[in-house]
Amino acid sequence: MNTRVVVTGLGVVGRLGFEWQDFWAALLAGQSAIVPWQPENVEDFPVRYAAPVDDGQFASYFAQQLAAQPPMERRSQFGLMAAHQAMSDAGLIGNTGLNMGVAVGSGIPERYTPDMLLAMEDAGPSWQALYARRDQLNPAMRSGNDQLAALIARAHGANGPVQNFSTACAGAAHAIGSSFRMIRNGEVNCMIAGGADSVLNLMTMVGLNLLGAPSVSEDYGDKLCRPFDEARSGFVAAEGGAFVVLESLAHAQARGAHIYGEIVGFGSSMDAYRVTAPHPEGKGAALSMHKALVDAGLEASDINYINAHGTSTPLNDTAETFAIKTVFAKNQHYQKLAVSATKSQIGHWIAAAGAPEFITTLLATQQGIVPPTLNLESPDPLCDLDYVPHKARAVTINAALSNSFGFGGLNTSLVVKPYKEDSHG
Amino acid sequence: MIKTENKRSPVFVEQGSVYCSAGNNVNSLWQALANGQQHLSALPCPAYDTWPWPQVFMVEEPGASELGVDRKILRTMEKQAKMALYGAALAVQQVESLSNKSIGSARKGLYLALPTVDESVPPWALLETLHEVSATPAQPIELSSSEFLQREIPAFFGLSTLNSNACAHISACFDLTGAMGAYSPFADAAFQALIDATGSIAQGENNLALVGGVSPKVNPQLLLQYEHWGWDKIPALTPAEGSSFVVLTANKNPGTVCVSGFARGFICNSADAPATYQQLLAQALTNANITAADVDWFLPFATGGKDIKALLALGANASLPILSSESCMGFAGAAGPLINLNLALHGLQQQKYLVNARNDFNDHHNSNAQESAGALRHVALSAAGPEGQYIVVILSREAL
Repeated sequence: MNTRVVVTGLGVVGRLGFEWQDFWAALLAGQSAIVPWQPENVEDFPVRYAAPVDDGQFASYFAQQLAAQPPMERRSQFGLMAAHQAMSDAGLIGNTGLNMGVAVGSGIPERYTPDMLLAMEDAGPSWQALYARRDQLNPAMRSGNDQLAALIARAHGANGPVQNFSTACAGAAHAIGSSFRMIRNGEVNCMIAGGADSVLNLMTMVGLNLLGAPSVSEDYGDKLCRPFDEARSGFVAAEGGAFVVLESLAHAQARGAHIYGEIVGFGSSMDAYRVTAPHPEGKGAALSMHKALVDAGLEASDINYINAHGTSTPLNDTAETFAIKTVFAKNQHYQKLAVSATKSQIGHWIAAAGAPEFITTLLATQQGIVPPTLNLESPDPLCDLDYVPHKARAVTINAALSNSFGFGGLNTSLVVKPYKEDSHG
Repeated sequence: MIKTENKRSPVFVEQGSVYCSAGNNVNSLWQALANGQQHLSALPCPAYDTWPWPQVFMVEEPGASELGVDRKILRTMEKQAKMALYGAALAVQQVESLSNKSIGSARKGLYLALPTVDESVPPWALLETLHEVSATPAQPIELSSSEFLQREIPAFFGLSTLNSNACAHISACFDLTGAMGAYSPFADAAFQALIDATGSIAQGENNLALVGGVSPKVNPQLLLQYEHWGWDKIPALTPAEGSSFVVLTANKNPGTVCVSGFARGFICNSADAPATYQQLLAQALTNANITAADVDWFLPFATGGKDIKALLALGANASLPILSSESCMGFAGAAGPLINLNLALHGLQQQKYLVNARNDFNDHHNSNAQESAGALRHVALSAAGPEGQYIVVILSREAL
């Protein structure tokens, strides 16, 4: 029998709070993290809304922990603090000698425009000038994009595998899935897994906007993120970090840890379609869900809730709906599913997105209540599932799926169940 | 300890592709190393006149015809994505099982090790335009102009700067829809990919997996990164470009080599490094059901040879042949460990090895490798990341 893998610590750092309890309460209350936004020093940027972390509150809340840290990327700050929260929640701060690893989903390295301006000279930009001025480069930007994974490992004395995933918006879910597999296979006892990202910088947002990915609508204000709604017009970018502590059941029980739930399956797939669009019938997404169910040893009918990728983009939401209807076609089980999109409340955390959404799925499963899909006022006729509109709803959940689909058709699905001492994973 | 690996199905590894300055197959590379040939090019950024290496190991940037894609697609790819796709294309040409129609695409996976994309941000062309239009280069007001940025930044910048884009291209070109993973950014990522791919096959999730690694492109920003890590002080780390792939399968063929053991961990403090090397090497050997004395060839990568002493301390033969390929062909980042893996597979099949170091590695960085015949059964390989990741993989050839 495979080793059972349980979740014993949660950490979320984002616009809706710096403790998972605040994040969860905000989700259940139907709060939105989305606010008017423009890049710093730019007034005419087409993207008008985002869900940024409140810098002042963040710096104040984590002043003590951040004071001792070296310079690091913005996303790494969020991630390091979220990992700290998860380890604290698990009661593992200061524990040494754990057979523990770290897995992180990270995205595009942060862009610090002033660095490249060091290349500017009277005669034009010059690499020689940049090289000569290299001591002025922002030290936070000079390591690799495994910076956060290494910082977490060093902060918590993790000497097990340290992985950094680059699977776009599926990154954090991949990190959690890989960690689950490593514990299940007996490679480690404990993993800190999740992700952190911040694309709310000028250059990355210009790049995303040129692809037509984020919404540029001004029509809906803080209700702009509208998964599965006819008026959806693109994702709303956000930032933050979220981590979980995963342990083998035996390890968790031996130390008397509080158990939030059990992770029982992980699946991944590729669309093999286009670099700019998901497969219109969600073939890759369906395969990912199917593989996760097989991995969990569950039937489709065992699932009661799906936390959808639900980006509020025209292409994703219909493709994902199609995929769900394909996987849960038997006896039209899709009609019995509760499906909700957390991005309607927190925006799109990009590479980190899978982590807060996994935590949402886990808490929904544990507490039997599903957070809503906000702003679903006029459902797209092609999106005809029960998306739990507007208000949280009590649902008995035996097993749930969390979907994360990355740009270019890189898909992941995670399966969680409520923890029961006598169940077999 | 990997408790369950021995209960699982064995996973076999087939030679795939090598794309590097010495050629586009492992035979060419092997011969170049054996003959002491080094295919160096002038550094593409000569302004770096204090740089220790005026010459580097570069490859031609593959074009649309080599990649088999429409020219318009090239706008979405930086050089490293092209190197990755080209390496995958070479593997598909060279490995029959990848075209095996009896295995559905949903059972064919992809595991890639990718550097981050070293595009200039803002793009260099934008800086040049900025210089032309701005009266005050030090504080160019245009960088606060959304209109200017939207006009001057390439339309597909959001794609070309995303390293995982290489996965999308490879999966679409070769119809791979199975389980996948992509890891970054340094050499250890290559063996993370290999180990997770091994797991996907061992548990029956994939029947076949294409596993690849790609180097960063040699460019001025890469050299700044080299300096950040202090690699500009290490003679063996001449920058190199390339990509390399292997294929993992559940199918056993005559003379097949399997991934018999692995171990991965992290060095939190440099003082712990010797003990960690020894612990992880021992763990990998135990998983392979062998001892250090059974290892016939060792190919460390990006470890600076620091793990050689650990292997010797575990009981490896004092005259164990060692190949430090980066001393001969440059440092190809995440491609390096998979280039080594292909060399190891070639050696296991041909019953010969290349050696440029023995237990005196720390004192000599020999760029000339010597070819020798030898009975090879078990080969150990390692890879390290600069932050502290360390991974060991053991390959074993089936008994003849």
